[in-house]
Amino acid sequence: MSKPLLTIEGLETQFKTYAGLVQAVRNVNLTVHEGECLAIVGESGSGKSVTMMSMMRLLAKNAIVTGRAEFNGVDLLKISNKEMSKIRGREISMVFQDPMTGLNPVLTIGTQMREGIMLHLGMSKAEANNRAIELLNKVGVPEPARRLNQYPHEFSGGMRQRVMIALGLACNPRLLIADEPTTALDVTIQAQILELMKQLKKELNTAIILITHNLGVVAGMADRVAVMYGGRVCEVGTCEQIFHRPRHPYTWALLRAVPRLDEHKRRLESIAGSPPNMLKPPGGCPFHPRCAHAMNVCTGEAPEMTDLGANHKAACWLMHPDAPKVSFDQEVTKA
Amino acid sequence: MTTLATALVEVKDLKMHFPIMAGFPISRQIGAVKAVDGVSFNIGPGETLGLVGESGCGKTTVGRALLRLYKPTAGKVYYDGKDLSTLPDSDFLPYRRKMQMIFQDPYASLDPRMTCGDIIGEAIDIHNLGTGKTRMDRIYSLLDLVGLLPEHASRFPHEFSGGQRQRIGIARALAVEPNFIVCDEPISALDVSIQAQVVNLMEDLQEKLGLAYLFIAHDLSMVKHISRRIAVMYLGRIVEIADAATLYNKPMHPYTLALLSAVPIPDPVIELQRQRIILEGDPPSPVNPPSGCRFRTRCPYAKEKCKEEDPKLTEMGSGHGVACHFPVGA
Repeated sequence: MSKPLLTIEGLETQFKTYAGLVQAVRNVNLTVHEGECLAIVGESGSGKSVTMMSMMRLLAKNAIVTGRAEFNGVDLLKISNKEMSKIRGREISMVFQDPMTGLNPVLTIGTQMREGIMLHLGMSKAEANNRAIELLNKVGVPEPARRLNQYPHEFSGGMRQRVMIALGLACNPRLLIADEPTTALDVTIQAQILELMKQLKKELNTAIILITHNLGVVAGMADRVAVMYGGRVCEVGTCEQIFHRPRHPYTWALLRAVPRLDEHKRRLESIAGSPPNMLKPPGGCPFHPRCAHAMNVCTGEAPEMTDLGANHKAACWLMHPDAPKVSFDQEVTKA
Repeated sequence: MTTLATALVEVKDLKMHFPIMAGFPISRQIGAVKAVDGVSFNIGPGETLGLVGESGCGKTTVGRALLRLYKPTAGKVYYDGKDLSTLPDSDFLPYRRKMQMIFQDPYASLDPRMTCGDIIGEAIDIHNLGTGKTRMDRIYSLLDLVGLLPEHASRFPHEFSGGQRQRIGIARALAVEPNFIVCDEPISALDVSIQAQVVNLMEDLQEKLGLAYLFIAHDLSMVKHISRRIAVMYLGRIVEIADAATLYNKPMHPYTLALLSAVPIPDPVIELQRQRIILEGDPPSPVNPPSGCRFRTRCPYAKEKCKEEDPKLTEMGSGHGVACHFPVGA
């Protein structure tokens, strides 16, 4: 496999709040390779967005971030703000979830697009304008020259998300972080946007980190998947491994909790209880209070990532050689 | 389609147009948002009808107009054979008791300054269903029904998680013993693991209490899971209605086809093989819907006839209705 483009090691993020220290991200390790799409799946509050925001140094002042995030040989958490702003938008760019709030409502699309291009690529206004038109064309916005002079409110949700993606791609970044890029959109528009992202990934060989909670979106887009729960990565593997041979009970639960379009009606298996409170996360494995296979050891000690071969890893005590053998019942997911 | 005799709720040619006003100081109506423009369906006792469509297609408006939370522009709503659209507001209260609603956002639909017990109790008070101990007993049994504890009655909404709040919303709807509940995207604001809990609860309650649901959602896989029949809406009209299995196995309207193909399936192998119908552009504005068939501007099969003639919802056999001049596979 190619050299990793991004290596996150031992990333921890805590927030100082009046209620206490919120442990949003706890010891996260991730790698992203050149031209690859890594999906991060998890429920809200599992720390998927905060991991990315920590790495991009976009968090508010009350956040304490420790660990390493090496991008292209530079530790993003160590460099100066000035150096960071050269990387942000140029080498790594982000597409945010909500296209309604991700754009500035009082500036035209053209102004917002030209700003980054002129800053990072040192183009003149006219050149930047041409580049913006070219980008809008690429993401499928009709009549780009006219659209540049319009304001965000004149665009529909899907069109705004296209503009956001065009903004993200403006400087040919090596890594694009898409934080729930289709969650606010309808399925038909979601299909358009995903198709566009797939095509751009192939064309420009940009690595993508896709943050989502929709397993269907992951199945169609990702090369590798990381499942997060309670601020930790609980399983990571290729798309095929995660969907067909998942090893972590949380991944099983996640796959069984959603109805599928292509299967017969069955009772949904809900996950009892609710996601952990990150002010006081449960000791040991964060999933143990809701896990059907929890053992005594799970309450006391957090499981280490176990290598299952072929880059498939899971953090669960069931992976221990002495643990009882429990396997994901294939009958349940196979329609 | 089921006959009137077996229908609990029947909707006939429901129209809901919102006026657009302009001008100062005397404003005049300059147009109308035709949010719902001629929708007919019926729901039998204990049955679930799923209503799907993209945002802005009018699905929520149908639910609200049905319960008279809006005054419909035209059309009739029958409950148990009784025409509700001509009923004066003063006579409507007993029917309110029979038809309830569960709202989308459990963070916005509960009054933050009322306790959980009072939220549920308010409905009991309005309909004079008991005071004092009977009232409290009833609240406790409702909490138990939706899987909450009696001590939760004295807590405020902010002390609950999203899933628990939605349970309170369900308990409130059940407080007046309705037969029919409009569920307006009841799970879309919840996390995946919690969605399954709430859906299972709704299915259990349906079995236990014989409730009929109008389940409004945009998540097609969930709608397919919970509904017996499904109606697909596009720009204020129903374009296809059929029982769940037929709609998924043999969709006939091009829009249904596109909608189904757009839903991702959590399986990388299947995802790789699927043929996707990608619709171009966005839905048109309901202020100026296209002439003829409303879907023709985005339809891959549109012909000249679609521009001129508005297709009627026609029966294709065994309750399968399609509004298209050139239905797929017919």
